[in-house]
Amino acid sequence: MPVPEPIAWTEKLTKRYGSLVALSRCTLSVRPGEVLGLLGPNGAGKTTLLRIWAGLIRPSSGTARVANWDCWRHPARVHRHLGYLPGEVRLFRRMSGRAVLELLGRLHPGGNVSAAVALAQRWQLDLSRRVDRASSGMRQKLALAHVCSLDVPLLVLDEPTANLDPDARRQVLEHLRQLRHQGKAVVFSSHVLSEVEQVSDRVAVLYRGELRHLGPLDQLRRSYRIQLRLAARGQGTLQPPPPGECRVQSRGQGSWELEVPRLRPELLRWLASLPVEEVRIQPLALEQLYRRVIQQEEP
Amino acid sequence: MKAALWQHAWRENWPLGLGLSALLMAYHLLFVWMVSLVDLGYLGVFLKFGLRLPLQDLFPIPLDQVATPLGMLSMAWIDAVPVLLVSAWAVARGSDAVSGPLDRGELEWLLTAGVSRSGFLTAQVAVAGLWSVLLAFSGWIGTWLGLLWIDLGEPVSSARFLPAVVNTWGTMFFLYGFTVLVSTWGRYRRYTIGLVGAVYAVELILKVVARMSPWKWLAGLTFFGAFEPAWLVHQDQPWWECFKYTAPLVAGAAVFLAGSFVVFKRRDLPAVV
Repeated sequence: MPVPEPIAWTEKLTKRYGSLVALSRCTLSVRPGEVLGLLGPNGAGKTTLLRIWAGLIRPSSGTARVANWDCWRHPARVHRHLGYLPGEVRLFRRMSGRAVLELLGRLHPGGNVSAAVALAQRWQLDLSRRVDRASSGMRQKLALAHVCSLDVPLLVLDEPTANLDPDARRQVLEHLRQLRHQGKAVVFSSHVLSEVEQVSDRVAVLYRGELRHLGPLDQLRRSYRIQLRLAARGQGTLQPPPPGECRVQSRGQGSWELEVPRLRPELLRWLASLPVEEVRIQPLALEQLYRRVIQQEEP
Repeated sequence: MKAALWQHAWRENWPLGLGLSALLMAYHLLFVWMVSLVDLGYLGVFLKFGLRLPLQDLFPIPLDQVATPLGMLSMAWIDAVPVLLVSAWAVARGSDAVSGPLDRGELEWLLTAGVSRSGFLTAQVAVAGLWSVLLAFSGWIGTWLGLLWIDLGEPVSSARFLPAVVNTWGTMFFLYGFTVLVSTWGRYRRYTIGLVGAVYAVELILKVVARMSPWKWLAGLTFFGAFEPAWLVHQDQPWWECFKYTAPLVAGAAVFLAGSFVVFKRRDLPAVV
């Protein structure tokens, strides 16, 4: 099956605010039918990247494009292909939920008011309530109902599940999966690693404006972490594991930690040959990858 | 241009526009009634002999003209109440052009819904410009209704006040344009209002000092120097001649608004804090 062309990409994208570098030479892309999870601590540059894609911020250098349109030079054309959810959802406080959906649905070229209303009702929103009398979670759901109902190939969502209760989070994540099945591309940032792990096909980790990691999650999902403690007679040395990508770290006092991309038979045989006193094998979580990436020494 | 965008701009403008128009109309109507109650002969004597010289300089027209129905009614256009009403409108709507919706987190929704920045600002300025005309005319309508219903003892044509309408509109639009420019630069609406308010106060003081001191040239440093609706009412010239006096104000507003488009087109729109 041919790999589809990216719907959006950045190339050496940089944003500086005076001496502060918010984003540094960031190059990535997202393809139709793909969910790209964006991770990073506060101030890593996630929102800056997403706002540049939305045409709200001018890059200092490099390019950001959606459907081949430059996001800064042709924002109106870009918005025909993009739905954007800001990180802090305020909306129009004097309007009712229904009026907000009608206004935004009528304005947006890909707007679909009836679909947005249906989605809001499915999420049990009271659309007659004024925005300034709604809770932050209700406002978030209202905004998501608009953005997720847009007939556009790309959704750019800045922390879409912020302020939502666990049930609403589950509904939103489920909806993102459906959008992916419909062939839409989704870029979303989050601080909740488990959410990114559940939904994303690929994950990008930003740290201090730099793209520290970009890779598929299915690889990570097949990877395992092996923690083992050797018996006294074998402490201090560890026979080299069989060839293949394997990260080995000593934890001291005969304890070792390995990260392996797959549990291959030769690896299990090698494990069985060791004078092991205790062993724990568990799937490698995104959290480990994330911690490792952001703890890397700066170049 | 999208109808929904224009409707939104209209919805944002009409409550304040309609409210202030009604107040302005009522004020001018009441002013006609109050003039009908004043003994103009006594007022003329008081103005001529009761006021000390520096205070007399504050009047834009000779004192013997003030003590006439036309003179009294013309003074309504520079009274504190209508001046404050039109200034409040200009600052309120101007500051809500960009920094207001940006501050409230509304702007990013509009600008990521396929609305171009220039299209957004055009709708804002056009609707506000229309309301500024309606607002200026509402004062004239109040005077016209008053003259229709109330007898002032001598005939006064409401057409004499059309130059005051044009001049008031020009001044209001100048202040609106300046506020829009500050708003396109700013991030918070309160800072826009604070900065414009400070400039407004300085300009007003310059006007008063220019009137009362020998340094008449100071009037050239303030836009209030071109705000002379009462004086224009008393000029014996066709009413459209007043455009000559108002043109600098309108030109200034045009420059500010053109600058606003340039600034808004180029600026970053930061995330709501």
